[in-house]
Amino acid sequence: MLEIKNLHVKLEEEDKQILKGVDLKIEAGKVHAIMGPNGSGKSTLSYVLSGRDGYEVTDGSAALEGDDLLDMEPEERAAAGLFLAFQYPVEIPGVGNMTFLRTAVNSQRKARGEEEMSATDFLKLIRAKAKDLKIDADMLKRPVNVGFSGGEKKRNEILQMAMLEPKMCILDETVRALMWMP
Amino acid sequence: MTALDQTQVKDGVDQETVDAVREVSTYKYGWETEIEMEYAPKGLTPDIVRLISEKNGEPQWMTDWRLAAYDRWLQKEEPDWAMVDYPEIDFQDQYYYARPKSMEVKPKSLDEVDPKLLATYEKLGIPLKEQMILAGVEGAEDAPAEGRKVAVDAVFDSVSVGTTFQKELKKAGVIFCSISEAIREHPELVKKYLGSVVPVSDNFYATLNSAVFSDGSFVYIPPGVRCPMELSTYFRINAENTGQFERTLIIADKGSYVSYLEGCTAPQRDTSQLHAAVVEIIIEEDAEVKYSTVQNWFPGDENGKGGIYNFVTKRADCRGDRAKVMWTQVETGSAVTWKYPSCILRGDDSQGEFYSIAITNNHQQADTGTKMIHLGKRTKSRIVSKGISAGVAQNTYRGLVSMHPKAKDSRNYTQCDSLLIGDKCGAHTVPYIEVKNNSSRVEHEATTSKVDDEQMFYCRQRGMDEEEAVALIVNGFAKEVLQALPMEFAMEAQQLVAISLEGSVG
Ligand SMILES: Nc1ncnc2c1ncn2[C@@H]1O[C@H](COP(=O)(O)OP(=O)(O)O)[C@@H](O)[C@H]1O
Ligand SMILES: [Mg+2]
Repeated sequence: MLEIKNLHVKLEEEDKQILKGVDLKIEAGKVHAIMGPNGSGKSTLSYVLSGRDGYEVTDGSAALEGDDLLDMEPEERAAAGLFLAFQYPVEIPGVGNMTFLRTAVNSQRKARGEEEMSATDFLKLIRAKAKDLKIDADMLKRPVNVGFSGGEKKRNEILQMAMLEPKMCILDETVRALMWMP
Repeated sequence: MTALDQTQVKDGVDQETVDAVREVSTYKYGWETEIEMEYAPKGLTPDIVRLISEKNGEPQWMTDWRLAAYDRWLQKEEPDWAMVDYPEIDFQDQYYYARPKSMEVKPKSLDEVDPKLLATYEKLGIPLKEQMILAGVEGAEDAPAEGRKVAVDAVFDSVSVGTTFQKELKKAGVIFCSISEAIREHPELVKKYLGSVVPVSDNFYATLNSAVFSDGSFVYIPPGVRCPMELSTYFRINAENTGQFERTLIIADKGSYVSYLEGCTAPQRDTSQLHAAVVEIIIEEDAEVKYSTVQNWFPGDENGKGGIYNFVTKRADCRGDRAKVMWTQVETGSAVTWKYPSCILRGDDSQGEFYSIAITNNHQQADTGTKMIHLGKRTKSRIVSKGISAGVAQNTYRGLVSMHPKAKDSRNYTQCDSLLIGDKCGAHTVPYIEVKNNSSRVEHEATTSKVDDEQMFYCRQRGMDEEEAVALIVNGFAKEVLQALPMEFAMEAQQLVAISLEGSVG
């Protein structure tokens, strides 16, 4: 599924090497945990895999189902099935959680050459998934992550994951918060 | 844009051509209607003023009014305090009147209007038919399924080509027609109100407009009447080298209500064109007017060539007690925008609101805001301004809140937010506040932010491309204003926000 070889990453702006040769092979259907002390580079690895600016890959490779990830735009990686649950989910004022998710779902569908999901189908699906995750309807209408508690933010990440149905998920410190889920 | 990106560049078609086509596709209304036109001679003289008046079939008092305005205009100087910079306008090097030949004899009904003109509005998405407009707003599950009616007055260059639903409105006592028709058919109303909110000598452009205005809309809502449908005027500039000088007059008599919307577009040309409008609104006791604008004049190309110079004076006078006015504007077009829709809160307990989104991209410049003049007791005003700037554009909010000595216990709340996309554009906030009594309160909040990299990455990680992400973030930023628009137009405005920011990232 995901294959990382000898990955070397430094900060773009500074001469600071963060990842010094990461090798990792992740097979479909398996859960892997990457552990390390604070500042060891776990978030950096997830950012580099998902294509955030500010990092420079100096050596090595990363491929998702054989496709070179490092060559793609972030949205192409998402459409290819890569999902990152953020350690610090971002607030987007004024954008309803549902609008955000519907835009995301349809962008990915468009990128894969699929048809848009209708408003009714989308509503049905998100209501069902929200119920499974014990997310109340009110949270779906609120602006993305704005004023959410820490736990609500993490659950919202999981809701997004459930809606987007990715192939490969990176959960950056998400589980810790979910352990206290009701 | 997307379709073009996938187009293969064929042999013999150079990149320049592809880019040119791509540019055109950003402004969707840049095409031109080929139609036989009749022009007044170029330039501005008393004879031209007389000619415009004659073409409109106006009575002598109107001609005299215009000529007096022309004399005043000669003595006035162009204002230079706004934060906009444009080449000097040669007022003698343009046409002041252009009308389709087919409009020489005014059509008696819409069926008689030149099919080319009807097709123009059809293509603009404003079919001149008496039909329902379906609400297409996202999440509008509560919208009436059968849609709502919107009456349209369509102005093409210097003349109104037709107005829909006039009969049905007449039954309710509402007068909705072009201003030229009102001057002929309802002179007592026009005489009483024209120039009573924006005096002839108010400012350079208003004075110019008073001399040469050609058409626009007239609305009268009688006492106690709630206008049975949304009213709207659609302004289209088509002729080259021609100024458009629209004049709109809205009167809401005691206890009445009306919601009015104006839209505007123009062809894409590499020479600039002048548009100088005056809108006057009179609101009597207990009456309420909502005035919404979606301004999408051609903004000029990526390099700042062409585009409309938009110099507009809009003012509402809350004459009676408890009168209410709400201005909502979405300003996405024009090369230069100079516009300050204002409220005179004369009646006790009257209220004024101003909601604005101003988007400037590439080389666009906007200097826009409002004036809230509190004269009556316990008057209230609220200003919500959202300025969005991209490219090398400059966006200025300029606002005045004035509490007069007699305006006891009045309140104002102002919120001005600016959003920057990229680091070559600018946002400026220029608030003027005058409080001349000690029981009134004025609150002002201002923020400036950038489209945040974190937000962009978050959206892109979920699958949106850069343009979708920017559009989503900006629409969120401007939400309070979008919500103030009539439902039928909120969706259109949302899409317009996205379109006007195309090419601002990446
Ligand atoms: N954008 C950045 N700017 C400066 N330092 C950074 C940046 N990103 C990561 N680092 C540094 O890289 C190291 C690894 O950080 P991080 O990946 O967040 O670790 P972890 O997630 O394992 O706690 C830390 O020393 C951190 O300070
Ligand atoms: Mg971390």
